[in-house]
Parts: sequence; C-alpha cells; structure tokens
Amino acid sequence: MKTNLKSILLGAFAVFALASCQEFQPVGHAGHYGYADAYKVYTDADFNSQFTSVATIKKLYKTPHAVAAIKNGVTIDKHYIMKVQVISDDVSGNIYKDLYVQDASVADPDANGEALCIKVGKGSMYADYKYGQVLYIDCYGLTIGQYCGSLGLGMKGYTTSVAGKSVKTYETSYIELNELIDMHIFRGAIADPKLKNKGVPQPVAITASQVAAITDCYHPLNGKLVTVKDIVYSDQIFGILNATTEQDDDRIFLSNTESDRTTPIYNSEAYGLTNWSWSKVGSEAFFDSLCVHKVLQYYPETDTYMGHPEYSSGKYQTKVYDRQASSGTSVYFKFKGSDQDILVRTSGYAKFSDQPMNLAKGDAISIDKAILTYYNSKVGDSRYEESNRQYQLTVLYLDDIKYAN
Amino acid sequence: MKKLILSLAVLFATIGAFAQTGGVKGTLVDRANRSIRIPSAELTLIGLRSGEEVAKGKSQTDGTFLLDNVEDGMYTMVIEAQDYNRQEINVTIDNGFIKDMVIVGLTQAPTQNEVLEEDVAELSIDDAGFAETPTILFQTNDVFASVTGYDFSAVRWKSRGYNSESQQTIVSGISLNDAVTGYSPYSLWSGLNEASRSKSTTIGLKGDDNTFGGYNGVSDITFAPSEVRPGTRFSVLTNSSLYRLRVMGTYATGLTDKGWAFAVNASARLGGNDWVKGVYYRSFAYYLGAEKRFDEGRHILSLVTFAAPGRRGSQNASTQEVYDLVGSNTYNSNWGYQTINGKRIVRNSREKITFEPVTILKYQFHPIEDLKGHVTFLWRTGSNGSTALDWNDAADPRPDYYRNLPSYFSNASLDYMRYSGGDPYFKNNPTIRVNDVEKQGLAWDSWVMDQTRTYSQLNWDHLFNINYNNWAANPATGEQERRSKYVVEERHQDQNDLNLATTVNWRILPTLTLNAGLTGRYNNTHYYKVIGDLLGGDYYLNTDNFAERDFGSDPSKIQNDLDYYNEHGHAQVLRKGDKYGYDYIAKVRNAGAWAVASFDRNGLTADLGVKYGFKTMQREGLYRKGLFPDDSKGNSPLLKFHTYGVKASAGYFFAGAHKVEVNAGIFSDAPQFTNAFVSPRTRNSVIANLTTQKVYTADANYWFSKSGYEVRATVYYSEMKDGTKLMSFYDDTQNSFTNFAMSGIGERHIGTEVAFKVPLPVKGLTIQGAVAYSYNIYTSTPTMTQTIDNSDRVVYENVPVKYWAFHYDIDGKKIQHHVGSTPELASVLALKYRTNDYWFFELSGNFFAMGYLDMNPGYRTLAAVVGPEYNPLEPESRYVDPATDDVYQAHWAHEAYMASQEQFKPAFLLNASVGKSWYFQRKYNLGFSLSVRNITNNRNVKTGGYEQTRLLDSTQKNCYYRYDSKYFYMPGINYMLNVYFKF
Repeated sequence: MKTNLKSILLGAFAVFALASCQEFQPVGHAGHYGYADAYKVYTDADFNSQFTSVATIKKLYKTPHAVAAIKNGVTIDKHYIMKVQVISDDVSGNIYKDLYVQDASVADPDANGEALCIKVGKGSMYADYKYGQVLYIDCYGLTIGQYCGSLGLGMKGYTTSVAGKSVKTYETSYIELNELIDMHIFRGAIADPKLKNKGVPQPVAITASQVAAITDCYHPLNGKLVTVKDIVYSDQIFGILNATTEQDDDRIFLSNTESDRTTPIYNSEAYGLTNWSWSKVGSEAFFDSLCVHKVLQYYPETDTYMGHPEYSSGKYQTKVYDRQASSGTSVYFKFKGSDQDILVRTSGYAKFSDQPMNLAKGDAISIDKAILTYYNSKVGDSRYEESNRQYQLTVLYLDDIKYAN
Repeated sequence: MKKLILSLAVLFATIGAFAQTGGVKGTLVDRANRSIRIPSAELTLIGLRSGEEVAKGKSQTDGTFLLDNVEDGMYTMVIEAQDYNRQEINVTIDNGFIKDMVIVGLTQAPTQNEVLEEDVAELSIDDAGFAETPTILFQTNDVFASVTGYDFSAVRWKSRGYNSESQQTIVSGISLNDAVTGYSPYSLWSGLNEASRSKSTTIGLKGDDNTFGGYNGVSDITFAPSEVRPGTRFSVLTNSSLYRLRVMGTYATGLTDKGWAFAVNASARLGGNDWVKGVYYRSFAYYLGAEKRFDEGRHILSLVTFAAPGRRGSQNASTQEVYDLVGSNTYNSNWGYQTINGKRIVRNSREKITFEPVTILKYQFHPIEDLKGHVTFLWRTGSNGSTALDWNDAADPRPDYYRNLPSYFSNASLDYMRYSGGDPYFKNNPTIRVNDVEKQGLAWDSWVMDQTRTYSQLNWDHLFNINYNNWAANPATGEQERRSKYVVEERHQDQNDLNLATTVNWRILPTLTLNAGLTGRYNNTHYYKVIGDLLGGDYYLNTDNFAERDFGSDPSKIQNDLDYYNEHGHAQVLRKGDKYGYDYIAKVRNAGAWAVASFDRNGLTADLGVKYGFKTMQREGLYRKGLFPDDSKGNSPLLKFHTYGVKASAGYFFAGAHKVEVNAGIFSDAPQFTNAFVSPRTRNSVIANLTTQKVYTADANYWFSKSGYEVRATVYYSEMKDGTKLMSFYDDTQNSFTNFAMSGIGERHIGTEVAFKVPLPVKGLTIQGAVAYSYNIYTSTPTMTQTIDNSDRVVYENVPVKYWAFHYDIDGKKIQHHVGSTPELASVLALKYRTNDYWFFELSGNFFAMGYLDMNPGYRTLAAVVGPEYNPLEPESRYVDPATDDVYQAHWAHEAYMASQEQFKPAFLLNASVGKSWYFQRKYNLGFSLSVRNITNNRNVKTGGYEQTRLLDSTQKNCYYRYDSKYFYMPGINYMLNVYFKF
C-alpha cells in the first residue's frame, strides 16, 4: 500500500506541477485587486530642461495664410520638446477633441506664453489633461498645419477623393491613437485641485483693437485664454442644425439676422434661436417649433453641404427629423463702442446646451475665460472666394459668461 | 382530468387483465468490493428466442432489483449501470417462480473522460444579446447520447437546433430551468460531478417519472444521498482549456443498515488555461446530503444542500480583424495588466461572482408495491453577480473599441472599405476614399508590436490614474473628492426561487402505469447593480451617463433614481457596494398539473399525456428613472399565460431486439420573463403582441439492441409559431444597451439522428458513430421594436423584420435563413478498445458543418436594406441599375449584402483518450484518464458569435453598411488528465 500511496502522491504532485503559479495569480487577491501605481509625473529634468518654444514650433509652418487651396502641413522631424500648460477644459463639452496649451517654458506664461491647439482627437480629455497641468510635448513626427487661420499640431492630414477628384481635407488630422498620444504627450505636475487658482493659468484681457490686429495664424493671441469686458449682443445668430451624428455633411445653416426676418416663415419671427445651443432633445423640439420644411422651402440661404435636392421636399424633412442631432451656434457680439464683431461659439454637445441666452439687442456681457481663435473661411478652403474674418470666443464654462445686470 | 385518467385506466385495464407472474430478483454489487451496492442500474429482460423485451426495471438504492410478471421461458437479462461494464446474463424462469439470483457482481468500467459540460455551458455572452448554451447529453443508456456526449457540446451543438431552454432539467424531481431565462442552471452544481452523477436523460418528446417533459428531452439528476457512489473518492484533474486544477473529494455511506445515507462532495477549481488568457477559476463547490428510510423504505425523507460559490474570469468575443492583429482566435479583450508596486498582475474586467445555495427537502413514499411518489420542496437563493466596466463622460476603455483598430483609419472613408462588395450595385457607384494610411499603419503597430500589452489589452493603470486625479465637488457635501470616471460594476440577478412538486407513479395494472404530478413555483429575481470597485476614486454618481449627453440641461432626466434626486436635490453619491443604475424585481409564478398514462403489453407500448400550466409575470421597478418617470417604478401590468401540452406515442418491440416508436405532441409555452419586456432595466413596457409560443412536433424512432450491437435512428419534424426574443446588445455609439424585442418568430426544424455501436471481431474493440442533421429555418416575418436603455425614443416600433426568414441574392434566388448558433450537421466516428485489465483507448473524429451566425434583426428591416435617405415605401424605384436597367437585380444586390446570413466553415476535429484502473487488495482503486482533444490543433472553428447592431451610412447616403461581426472560437489542442483514488 505504501507504493500505492507513493504513486498517488506522485500523480497528484505532477498535476500540481503542471499548474504554474502565474495563472493562479489573478485570483490571489480574492476580488480585492488593490490600487494601481500612480503614473510618473514628468519634470523638466526628464528632458534636460531643453525646450523649444511654442512660438518656434508655430513658425515652422511656412504656408502663407492667403493661399486658397489646401497645402500640406509641416511634419516635424526633430525631437523638439515643448513645455506647455493646459489652458482649455472640455468638461462642459463646449470644446471637443482639441486641447489648447500655452508655452510654460517662458517667464510668466500667461503674459508671454504663446498658445497652440493640440489636435489630440479624444473626447473627455479633462480626465487625462487637467486645466493648468504641465505637459511635455515631443513634436517629432507631428505635423503643424492650419485650418482657416488657426494653427494646430497633430498628425499629417490625409487625402480624400470622390470618384477620382480631390476634395476638401485638412492639413492636420487628430493624433487619436492612444499609443501615439502617449508617445507625444507626457504628463507633468497638476495644480493642486484643492487650492483655487494655484498654478492655474489666468486669462489675458483683450480689446477690440488687439483683436482686429489678428490677421494670421502666427499671431500670439490666436488660441490664447482671454477675458473680455462689456461686449454687446448684436441680435444676430448663426446656427447649424446637424441632422446626423455620424457625419458633418447633413447640416442646415440658419442665419438669424434682421434681414432674415422678412422671410415669410414661422410667424415672421426670428428662427427662435434663443438658446446658447441645443442638445439633441432641444434640437428636436426646435425643429418642431420651426416647422423645418417651411424653412427649407422659403429660405434660400438654407444650404446643405452636399446639396441633396431631397432636402427641399417634405419627404426628406422626415428623415432630417429622425436623425436630428445636437446643434451649436455662433452668437454675434460687438465690443462696446466699437464696430468689431466677436462671436461666442457654443456646441450642441455642451452640457449647458438648451440654456436660454436671455439677451436682447444691446445687452452687454463679460466673459471671464474663453479661448480666442481667428477664423478666416478663405484660408484653407477654396470654396470661399472672399476673405471672411471672424474672431471667436469658445467658453470653457457657461458660468464664465457674466451678464451686465 | 380525473375522469380522463379513470377512463384511460379502465381502457388499459381491460386489455391487460390476464398477465401471469414469475420473475427474477437479486442484489447488484460491485465485484471488487461487494459491500458496495449498485443503485439505479437499468435491467431489461429480453426473450432469448424472440428478442422481445418483456420486462424492465431499475435497481433500488440498496442495489436490490425485481423484474416480475414474466412468463416462463429463457431470457437474457441485460444490466446497465453507470460506471460499470454492461453485463448480459441468461436466466430461466420456471413455474411462475421468482428466481432469486442473490448477488450479481458488476465490473467497474474504467473511468473515462471526466465530463466538464457544466463548464462548457457556463460560457455566457452577456453583452452579446444572446447567452445560448449548448445541449448537454449525459452519457446514458441512449446510444445517441452516449456516443455524442461531450464531443458535440464542445462546438455548442444544440439538440435538433432547439433553443436551450427547451431542454428540461429536473433536479431531485423538480423542474429547475431558470425561472426568468429558461436556461438549464448547470452552474449551480458545477464541480459536483460525484453528487450529480446519478442522472438520466431522455430525448425528444419523452418525459420520465418526474416530469411530463417537453419536446427536447429531459436531464433528470437525483442528487439523492443514497445514490452517491458509496465509499471515499479523491480526484485531481488538470486541463488546458478551462482551468488548470480541480481537486475533489467525496464520501458517501450508501444506505446503512439503520436506513440512513449520508454523502459529502466538495471540490475546488483553480487557475487559468492555455488558450484564453484572463479566464481563470477560483471556484468551489460543496454538497451535503442526508437521507433516512422509515418503515422498510415505505417513507424516505432526505435533505440536501449544495452550492458552487466562486469567482471566475470570462471571455469576450471580438471581430476577426482583432483576432488577426493579435494572431489568435482566442484573444480575450476582457483582461489587462494592473501594476501594483511595480509588479503587473492580470485582471479581468468581466468576472462572475456567485454563491447560490440550493436546498432540497424531499419526502418519498412507497406505501404499496405499485404506488410511489414524492413531495419535494426546493429553495434556491443567494447572489449571482457579474462584473463589467462602467464609465462616465470618459473614453471607451476597451482595447478593441472600433476606433482603436486599423480599419477605422483605412476605412476609407466613411464607407469603411465595404464598397467593393463585388456586386453590381456597388460597382456602378463612384467610390469615395479617404486613406489615412499613416495612422492605419500606426494603429496596426499599436496592436502587433505591443509587447507590453498596454494598448491591445485593458489598461487598468490608466483608469486608476484618471480617477486619482479627477477631483470634483461631492454634490452632497460640497467637499472636493475624487469622482471616479471609471468603475467596476457588479450586475446582480439574485434569485429567491421556491419550488414545490409532487409526483405519483402508479402502476395501476401490470400493463398500465400512470405518472402524474403537480408543480408550483414562486420566483422573485432581483436585478440590480452595485459599485464593485471605485478604481482609486472616492465616489460615483447615480446618473445615466448617456442621457447626460442628450438632456444636458435637464438634470431630472439623467437620474437613475429620480425620487432620491427630488428628495435631496442632487444625484445620489455612490460608494463601494452601493446599488445604482437599475433596480427591479422579476416576479414569476407558475402552477401546473400533468399526467401521462403508459401502456405496455406484448411488445406494444403506448403513452398518452396532457399537461396544463398557468404562469404570471410582473416587473416591479424599485427606481423611478428620470427618463421614464411614469413607467419605471412600481408594478408593471400582470402578464398571465395559460399553457398546455398534449402528447402521444406508440411503440412496438419486434422479435430480435428491434423496436419502433412514434411520438407526437402539441405544446404551448409561455414566453420567458427576459423576452417579455422591451427594456426591463429601465421600464415596465411590455412587448406588443406577447403570446404563448406554439410547438407542433412529431418524431419516429427505430432501435436495435442485441449482443453489444446498438442502433438508434430518428426522424423528426417541428413547427413553431409565435416565438418571442429580446436581444440586448451593448452599443458602442450609444454607450448603452440597445434592445431588439421581436415577436411572432416562426421556426421549422426537420432532421434525423442516427447512432450505432458495433463490436468488432477483436475482443474489447468497438466502433461507434453518430450523425445528427437538422434543417432549422425561420418561417415567418416577425415584428420588432427597438429601444435604447438610455433614451426615451423608440427607434422602431412594431416594424416587420421583412428579411428575417429569407432574402434574394443578386440573381434573384431565394436564400433561406437558419436558426443560428449550432451546426446543423454534426457527426462523430469513434474506435474504442477496452482490455480485461482495465485499460481503455479511444480515438474519435468529429465533423461539423452548416453552422450559422445568429442574426441581428436590425439588419433585416426594410429600412436597413433601402438605406438612409430614401422613402422606405418605394424601395425598388431607386434601385435601377444603370448598367442593366434591372430594377430588381439592384435591389437584390443590396438585400444580399444587408440581409445575408453568415455560414460557418465546416470543421474536423480529432480526439483521443486513454485510461487505466488498478485495484489493490480488492479495496483500493487507483486510476487515471487522459484525453487530448482537437489533436490537429484546428484553431479556426467558430462556435458562435453575433452581428453588431450598428448601421453605418454610406457617404452617398444610398445605403447602409454593416459593422463586422464578433465571434467565439474553439480552443486548439487541449488535454485533460484526471487521476482518482477511491476506497
């Protein structure tokens, strides 16, 4: 029997031996996996304190802004490291896929640090990159390119062809891939969230004349975090109704200007653009109130990107309604005492969408924090023949809009 | 009902009034250890000359048997018992006496492959919209079941193509198919192979002593302490396809002289496997049973409790693109590394955590020779959870999310390379191409070159670090705390299942038996989820993530618990263990009665059975959900269903061991709770036109059994109407579950089953084989309602799924659609060799073909086929092919693309086993069995999968495209070694 027992024990041992330790490891924690290690916080020392300024990177872009056709962006072939600080926050959803940063390698970044848009291409970036956080960006392999007057750093743009013909595309594209993002963006210190304003970027005040001076993509204020006082509502809104979430080519542009009101639609009133933007649900309600087929029928400027003839028929209207997505606006303001337009841009995906503006013509507001961008539809888009300069403010939070009263 | 039974009794009584008595009796024991009695052995007396079966019976728990009412003559007595070699003994009965054979010893069969069917069945596919389990045919005396056994369930074969809830599982006399899903709950006793060893299986329309049965057979597991093999047994098992190690111990007293029987069975299943990383087991199981016989067995009382508590990681399906990128069809996207103090551990995001004890109190009575019965109470309770990642306003963390794949960039565009479909419709349209070749290559790199598995698996470190830094004001206190963006949720389906059944088996006359029973069930299943792990954060909020995007400015809409919000003015702040998301109770009540009368005389058998059932279902919502304030909290309407079943069979034993039998039945079955509500997680809305499913079925069977030769051949035909099905898929774009509620599904199943065992001239060598062919098709145009859990909009309401049953190909040929998730052709051919000194060898080949992918109704509506921007009422008008002017051809081309169903490639598998038993001192038994499966290492066998739900617009807006389907594959070569010791 001794021999038998020995064989049993040997057999059992063999079975145990087959089971390596590692595969039992996941269950060793009995459901309590503990806490993962915190990420390394990069410091200047990791990059030998050798930084290239944002201004230098911007200057690498050589394509003159006046060129109508799309050009290639400039792909950077050296390991330029930028030390930057995050000045945007997509927590409210008003900024989407873009990360705005300002140079943190200079003294007093708020005053002296030039800003740039990083085309990260992810939603909810505030989870990864905090407002005020220091980032180190390795520019090697990235492309600096322009879209309608503003620069962005991302991946190389790609070509598009429809039936063999070249069509619109962009000089840069989003970085998008997690691995690519991790190869180029390194997280530095975060400002202490419990201490208000500690290390957090402060906006710079801007005036009408400063804004008017922005005429190209290189301007130091282009992309900066700014604050404006007393801008006056012009009673003019440009709205885009998106009819689908998948693409951007099912859009209906609505301009709510004084002249539009003569158009015999919807009780001869404005389109009813009274919200900062519309969520999907708000947008559907708006469509209902607008009686969209009348818009399509009577308002000649209503346009769609691809120009489907079906848009003008009642048949298509149903389809638009079915696939209605959230919609954003550009609300026109002027600097007080000036004829200089400045637009407040909002997205339909913003969490503050459907909030009423509560503004009448002539009402003044101030904006504590917003990203200032220059937009010229002629630059980088051959469809437009004339230059159409606009200055846009993209607010980070709705709370930053302060009413005069 | 009573009158019917009485009339039948009188009818059969007159036929069989003149039977003679005489017979054979004895006690079955283990030849190696005579103290071991052998219960539940099947004994059959066959006329030596006529070959006619004249009597049949089973040995009792103490091993005794009696076959009586047999005329004088010479017979062969065939004895078949589980784990013992089949034995044939010649018996002569004279002068009407009962011949007492005293002791009949049986030789133990070498233990073959330990069966892990329960674990096969456990592979559920939660987010895939279906969780079909294969049919499990336990190796019993049916030659087909015995030959096919494990081989077929390895590819998730389903008997006759029926859905798995149609197979009845009887536990200790109670029908224990899950009250809300209908599935067989094998996982309740997985790991208890010894305690559940005593079981029987019927095929097709056959019921048994404990149940009326259905149309897809019965698995009847006794769990009786007295039927657990007496003695002590230990086994150690290792295998490479599920878990590395199983250790199991069993002790059973058998029936003692004082009428007691006790049994204990416990096991642990631990470790991972060679094929699917992240799948691991940390599962345990126990069984405790006590039984007491009173009054010489006239009254038996038993109490049994068992459970299989544990935790295990599960597998996920991915698209072929992902499998090709990582170079493995068994890639599992569920797991990833988590770094703790510099050391990386594997963590699975989808774990099953269960502890569901079952307690059975059973009273059996046997007051007179010809009457026996039982009253059984069964209670299932406990907790059944499964984990998943949940996130709020953050990027989709799953590595195989479609935006992380190269195809997203190569895709050409919005048309995703789907343009060159090769059919005329696509060829005549201009293409649009966008090639982000660079990023496509980089995406490819991030999969193929990812040595550290940072991007091709879940990145737990990233999730933790996001949570570590996400400081936000706690809405309850205003304090800054870390709000988790990612959490692990635990989804629960906790049952409180009370069952009562009573059965009477009355041998009214020697030729007439009546089996009848009453059943009752009271089930409350609590569905909810809790925060399982905050992943480094401090709190989470009880809000609906996706609704937040659509209803940004209306905080009441995004509340999962609106009442809490209204009371406190903010969303509930959640800590670990807090309930959130959804919370409702599925209430299912059943009552039923059934009776089957069986007549048996001179080789002629006939059964006639009826059953009636009443079922109610109700959803009780415990949350008032912001999106559905009026339809989410409180009770739904009470759904009531009356069901019935009628079946009849007639058979005849011919001389020479031939038998034929025909069966026919009509059934109406109530829908399952899980198929009755359009979106049970969120609201009380019931599927429109909900009604009972009707099944009309018939089969014809032929058997031959003599001198080791065994054959069964069966043909069957079934027609089903008014089926309902809720498919609930996780939709990437919606970050939510999308529900397709279908009703009015019709199916037809026609097929054949043939199996044989033939002894070859070499002693101990047998050849055996089986073929199952089933033609399972859809026959109706069901209607479908599509909803999204996180949206109040009904996407489709009661639209016909026009292309569900068939579509036309580009030549106008009608292409039939099939019931998916099972091969329609399954076959096995095996050689078995056994020696007298307990060696056995087996070599088997399997061939499977004609498996189909489960269909998504969303691809088969008219709207899906005609594309996004055209009037769906005039589909043909826009499909004029410019080349041929052929309107219909173009339409069919699009139909062929959108509505077609994928057929899986055929597969061949080769398996081999070897085993040996040693006996020492007539008391100790040591043995092993080793099986190697899929010897040719075929890693391309699809065992199932599903179509994704999303439709993609073409750039031209003239059609939709489908997203890639997701698949499960069978593991490649794998082994199982079992070493056991018993005494």
